[in-house]
Amino acid sequence: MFTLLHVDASDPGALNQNLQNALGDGPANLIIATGNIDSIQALSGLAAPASFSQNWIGCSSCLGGASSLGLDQSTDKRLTLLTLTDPAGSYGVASVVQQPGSIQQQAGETVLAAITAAGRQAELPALIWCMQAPGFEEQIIAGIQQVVGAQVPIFGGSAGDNDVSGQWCLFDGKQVHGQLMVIAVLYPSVPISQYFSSGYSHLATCGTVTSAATRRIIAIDHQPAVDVYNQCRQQAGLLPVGTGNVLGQTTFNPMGRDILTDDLTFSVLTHPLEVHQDGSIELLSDIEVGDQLYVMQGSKMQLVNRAGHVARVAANMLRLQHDTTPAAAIVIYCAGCMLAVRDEIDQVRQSLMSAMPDTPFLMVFTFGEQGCFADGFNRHGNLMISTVLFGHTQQGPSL
Amino acid sequence: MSQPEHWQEKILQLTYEKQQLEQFRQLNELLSNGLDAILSSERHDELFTKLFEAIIKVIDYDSILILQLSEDQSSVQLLASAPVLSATSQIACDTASMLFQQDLNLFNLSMLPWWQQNLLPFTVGYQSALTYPLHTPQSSYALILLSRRTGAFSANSATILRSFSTFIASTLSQLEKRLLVEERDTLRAQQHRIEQSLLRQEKMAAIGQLAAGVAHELNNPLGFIYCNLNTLRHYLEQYDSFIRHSLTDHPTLSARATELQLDYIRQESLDMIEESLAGARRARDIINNLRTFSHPDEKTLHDIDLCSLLRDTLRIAQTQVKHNARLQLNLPDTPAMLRGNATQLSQVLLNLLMNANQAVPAGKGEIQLTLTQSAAQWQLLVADNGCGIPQSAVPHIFEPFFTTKPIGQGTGLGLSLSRAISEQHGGSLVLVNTSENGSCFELRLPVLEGR
Repeated sequence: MFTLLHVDASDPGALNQNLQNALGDGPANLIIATGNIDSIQALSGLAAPASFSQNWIGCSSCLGGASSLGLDQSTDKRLTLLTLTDPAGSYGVASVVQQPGSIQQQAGETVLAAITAAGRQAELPALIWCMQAPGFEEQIIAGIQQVVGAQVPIFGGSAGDNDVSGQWCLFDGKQVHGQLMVIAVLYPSVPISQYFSSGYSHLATCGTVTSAATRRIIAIDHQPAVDVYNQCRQQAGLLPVGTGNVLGQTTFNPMGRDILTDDLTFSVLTHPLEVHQDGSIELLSDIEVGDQLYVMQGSKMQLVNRAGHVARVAANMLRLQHDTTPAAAIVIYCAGCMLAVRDEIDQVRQSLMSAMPDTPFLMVFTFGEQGCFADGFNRHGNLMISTVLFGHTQQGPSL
Repeated sequence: MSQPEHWQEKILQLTYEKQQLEQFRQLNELLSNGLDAILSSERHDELFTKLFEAIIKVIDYDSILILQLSEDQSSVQLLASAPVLSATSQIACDTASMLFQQDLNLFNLSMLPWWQQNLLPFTVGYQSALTYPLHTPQSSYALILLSRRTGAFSANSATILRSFSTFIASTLSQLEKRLLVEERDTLRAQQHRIEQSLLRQEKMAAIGQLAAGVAHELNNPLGFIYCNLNTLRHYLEQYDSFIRHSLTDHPTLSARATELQLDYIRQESLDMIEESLAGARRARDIINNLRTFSHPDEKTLHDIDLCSLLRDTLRIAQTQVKHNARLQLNLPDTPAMLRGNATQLSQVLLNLLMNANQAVPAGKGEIQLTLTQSAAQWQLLVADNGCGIPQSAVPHIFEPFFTTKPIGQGTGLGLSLSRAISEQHGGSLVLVNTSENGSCFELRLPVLEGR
């Protein structure tokens, strides 16, 4: 039912042949694809992608993807594909080129188109999987929820490139494009479970946002944002950040906003991207005036062990809820985290393999992660790790 | 990982797991409450009310309903709902059959033309639905939870409902069993009544034969009595005339006549003869009625005066009615002629009278019979001030063997036979109204042609 493939994407002919060899039994119900930019670009050379599946969803992964089969290098021309062949289930994919200003409406229309493509009109999917160009993730989640409500888990990640230069690309089965929003709706015949977490902890209280513009903090406590942020960093014994791209410097100490639920508090991370001359800080997720900010603390060891831990929680859910074990997994791992532990990334992969023995998984390094938090709300976050697990075919207990 | 990080992460993980385990707790609660509902409910509506209350404790919904698929699978009908819906008519189920085949978590009902076409009467105003098919040995059902919010039901809710489905199906199965038991009991009661009716008919036939024989045997001596009494009265008048002339001619006899109280004897004798003649006439009428009622199979039609028939029937009924109710008879001045079988029509009238008599309060009953002509039909209204007929019984009163009386006290055939007889005569018998203040039946029969 689930097949994980490493496919040579060095030229369209080879790619086509490799796919034919791998999917000789007939088209899959869904193909999830990842790889570095060049590999994803190679998909545009496929003569008839629909002959392999009507439903493709793929995006470029920072420096290439990873899987239970191995780890890509940035120079590799290799695609990692997870194919789902599930005739008893239903799957649909739809896409649109993102138009700033209309993102929310586009997301709503696209998810409806995907549901129609799945032939499950008005039926709530078990999972919505989205891959899109970075920049408008909150609006995409809002748009989807406006149409289908807030009860369906929305997971996915934003396409990455190698240097945040905007070279990322996505594939929807018809075209490779840099500004696509691709949404897949899944009605699998097997149970699924998912977990979404960061694992960072508070380091210091930063202040309250007093001036902001979508993804830019202009002022914290009425002072230039970077001044307050650096002050907090210095008090915690960290070096201040300068102007320019600060992604790498802030990976272990991003900002966090507390989410209060009935019986716990957890943080949604926002990763500083760039510090501007005016002292404002550009982020990779939306911020609002009134948000209480903290400087968060992560560590290399934590990021290495984290993915396996997230997978373990999801597997536990699968066992508790559906009395089954994982048959396949999709793992989203923040590209910022990956870059911070690049030398140890194979240990990350090993931790996943240890948490899900004999389970094929595909891993994408993304520039923004979407998922459902412990409070049941779907959110966009940075520096996050998520795992979606598909169980073996087994019905839940009926009493 | 530092200790605070470790604990925070542990708390997050446990919280997540707790939510999942909460689902099992909710399911257990649902099962427990559902079991209580079954064990503590005497009536079907009460059972469903409690079951729905149990479900809402774990799945938030705005409305819930159970639809039942018809035996030929062509239509669906509302079995139960909360809040209670008034839409009880059957709806076609050509496209709605999907409801009985698979579970659905529908986030926006307005997107489904088949839902809007078929199920709107039940679900107008609701946005999303969680449905689950239920199958029992007797029938197929669909359990539907509705919400006014878009995409209101989570996968967890669907899982809970799925897990609970077998339990609900068992509940419905129990319900079906109860209905079958009730049906069996009704059939047994009907069988008992049929047997009683047959027995009574046999007895009546025997009594009828006996009555016919007795009437025949009594008729001749009664003729002698009647005839002799008339002759005796004539003779007595002759004697009386002779005595009166003798007393005029021979005044000396007056003292002797006074001594013998001849005036008194004469008057008493006349009264006794008149009373005996009245008794003989009454006996003759009773015998005639007995002869009429002792020929139940008679099918011959005659020109009948319905007014006379009513008076005769009242006379028979009077023995039972007179201590219980006051009878008021409003008849037209001229004969109400029709073509019919007097025996059968008497049976209809007697039935209506006896039913009215049994319904009225003892000693305070008022039974009014009003006969009028309405176009080409005679309209007889039989109204009483009795306790009325329960609304639940109204649709069944003309069904054979239906009765509200205890077993052994009614055959359940009276009204059904009466309606059959009136229809055979080209007329009708209907219940005009019934309430706690009384009931009124209307018997219509065609006026004799040529009148």
